[in-house]
This record gives sequence, C-alpha cells and structure tokens, in this order.
Amino acid sequence: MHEFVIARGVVESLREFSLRTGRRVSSFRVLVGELSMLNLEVLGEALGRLVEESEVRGASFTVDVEPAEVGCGSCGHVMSFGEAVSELGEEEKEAIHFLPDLIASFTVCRRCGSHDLRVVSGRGVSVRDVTGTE
Amino acid sequence: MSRARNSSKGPLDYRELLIEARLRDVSRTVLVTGGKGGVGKSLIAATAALLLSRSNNRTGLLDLDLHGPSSCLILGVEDSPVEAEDGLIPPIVGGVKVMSVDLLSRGRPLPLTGRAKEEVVKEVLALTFYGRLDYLLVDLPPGTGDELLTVSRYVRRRGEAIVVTTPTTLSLQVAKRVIQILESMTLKIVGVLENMHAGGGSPSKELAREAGIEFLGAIPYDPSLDGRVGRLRPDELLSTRFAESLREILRQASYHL
Repeated sequence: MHEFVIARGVVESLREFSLRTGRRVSSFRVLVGELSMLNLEVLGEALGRLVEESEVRGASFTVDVEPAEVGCGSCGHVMSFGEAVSELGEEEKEAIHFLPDLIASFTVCRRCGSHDLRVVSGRGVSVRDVTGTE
Repeated sequence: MSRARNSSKGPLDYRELLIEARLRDVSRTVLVTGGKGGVGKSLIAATAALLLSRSNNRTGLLDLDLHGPSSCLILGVEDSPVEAEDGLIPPIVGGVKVMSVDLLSRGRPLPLTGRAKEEVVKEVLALTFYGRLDYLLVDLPPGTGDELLTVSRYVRRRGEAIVVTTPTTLSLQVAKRVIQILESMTLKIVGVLENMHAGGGSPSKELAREAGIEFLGAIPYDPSLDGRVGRLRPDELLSTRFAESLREILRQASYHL
C-alpha cells in the first residue's frame, strides 16, 4: 500500500524538477528494484492518477523492474532475487518490501553462509530518463 | 532550496521531497547524539520523549541506531508499524509514536555497510507517517557515521542536537568530534548533557565552554536503573530520579515540560 506514498514522491520530484528547470515534463521512466516487491499495477495506477492531477499532466511514463542482485562480501558469490528470497516467509518479505537492505538480516549467502550481504542492484525506486520541453 | 534536493543530472530520488514534507510537519526535531556508546543516549531520548508526551506535546521517537537499536526494548514496544496510504504508521507507547528498524527486523542483526545505512535512513524518514508533531526525538548511534550525517542533511534548518557525555576523558574527547561535525552542518546545538554524574565537578562543563555551547546540566548516576532498563513500564521509568533530573534539565533548556 505504500505504493501510493512512492507515487506521490515520484510526482512531487517531477513537479519540482519542472519548476527548477523551467521545462515541462513530457516523459519519464520509473525503475522499480525487484527487491522492493512493489505491486506494479497499484504503483502504475497511482502514478497515472497523480500525474493527471499535477503540473506534469500529460506526461507519459513506463514502470520497469530492475532485476535484483545480492552480493556476498565474504566469498563474492552473487545471488539472484529468486535465490536470495527463496527461503523467506511472508513476514520477512514484507520487511524487505519496506527496507530492501534488510535482506542481509533475513538471509545468508547460499554459498558460504555469511550475513555479509549487500544489494548490488534492484534495491528501490528511482525516476529516470526524464525528458521535457522548454 | 535544500542542499539535499535532487540535482538536474542523473536519476531523481523520490524520497527527497517526501522527507522534507514529513519534517515540515514537525515543530522541533531533536537529535540525541554523543561520541561514545553506553553513555545513555537511547535512555535519554526515550525518557525525554515520554516526558514531552506527558506534558501534552505530540511526540515521536525515531531510533536510527541501526546496529544497536534499543528504543523499542527500553519502552517495551511490541506492535508493528501499520501500512497505510500515507506510509508506515508507528505504534504508540506512553503516548509516543515510536519508529525503529528493529520493528521490522525483529531483533535480527543488521549487517549494513555505509551506502546501505544511508538508504535505510532515507527510506525510514520518507515512509514513516508521524503526522503533526511538536517534537521528534531522534536516537542516534555513537560517533559521526552515516546515520548522523544523513539525518543532519535533512533536518539542518529546523533541527537541533543534544550531545550526551559521561564524566570520562574518552567520552569527552569523542564528543568534541561530534560537536565539530554538527557545527560544520550548521545544526543548532542545544548543549552538552552529562549523564551518570558521580558527584563533584562536571568535566563536560569545560568541554561545553571550549566549544562555546551551553552546558545543560548533569544527571546523577541512578543506581535504581541498574539491570532494570527494558523492564520498566513507561510510568515506572518516569518515576525514577533519572527521569526527574532529565525533566528539570530539559525544562531549563526551554523544552515544553
């Protein structure tokens, strides 16, 4: 449900970008880290609604997923999203959904068993490829 | 315009403006800092939050001691934050809205490196919905690491800091470094608060004088707390000599008590 908060933050950052640069936003891309396990449909709907209610009205956008990779600082092994979350329950996944870096608290390296994990990619949400007209 | 604001190059960070909006809803954000571990920052932050709440202030407590969160243990917080359209709504104990990563990690270790700590702090600040607050107490880990730097970046214009020390040379030496960092970030330093004072003079007074900041006072060592922190209910914590001393010091320092 915090997809709504994220959508609000995305649209606010675009509105501020537009005010600061004096450019009208015509398109943008939202990259969603796989680890955040956000509901893309809910996020897309919230974005669509908020864009139309804001100063960036009419901007087109896409929502894409960035695949997650979790690296082990001890042995160098890199885990895919599926490998990293394969043994986690719903409660653990929900915590990671809010704070993706908590993956290191809940899982261990599948190769060496270490908790020394760091998110290499696919952590959170970012707004990219913003295009605008003068 | 905030220095934390998105630049025009590279990706936009959706959290920046959310954090600013959240903090605008808080009248006073108070960072509870110190150089050394074990000086009582967390107990002071949690007790101060309870005292302020008891005096009818809308109060929140944010535990950003990511590697050693203890606010929830001190206050006996058991409920989880609730997900809502406005964000994560913190549980309330003793009238205080309490947020901690520990409420999500549930006692597990947090093996976070620098970049990850910054990400976690930003996400917690962006996602937590406190609503309107008179006071937000922020419990920080010892030293001058990512947690202090990241939160200071956002609160600098409306934030203030209390530097907690104990009457030991080591505590005072490292507190100096924290003061230097806070000053470099133009954060208002309310003053130095000495904890576990054992009688006689307060060496923290000299530290405050040298740094040109206020000496707020000294909280006498309270043996009644030994082994009981984390087992006291909010009412019991507030009835200790420790809490009474803290109340008087904060009142003198213009907190609404």
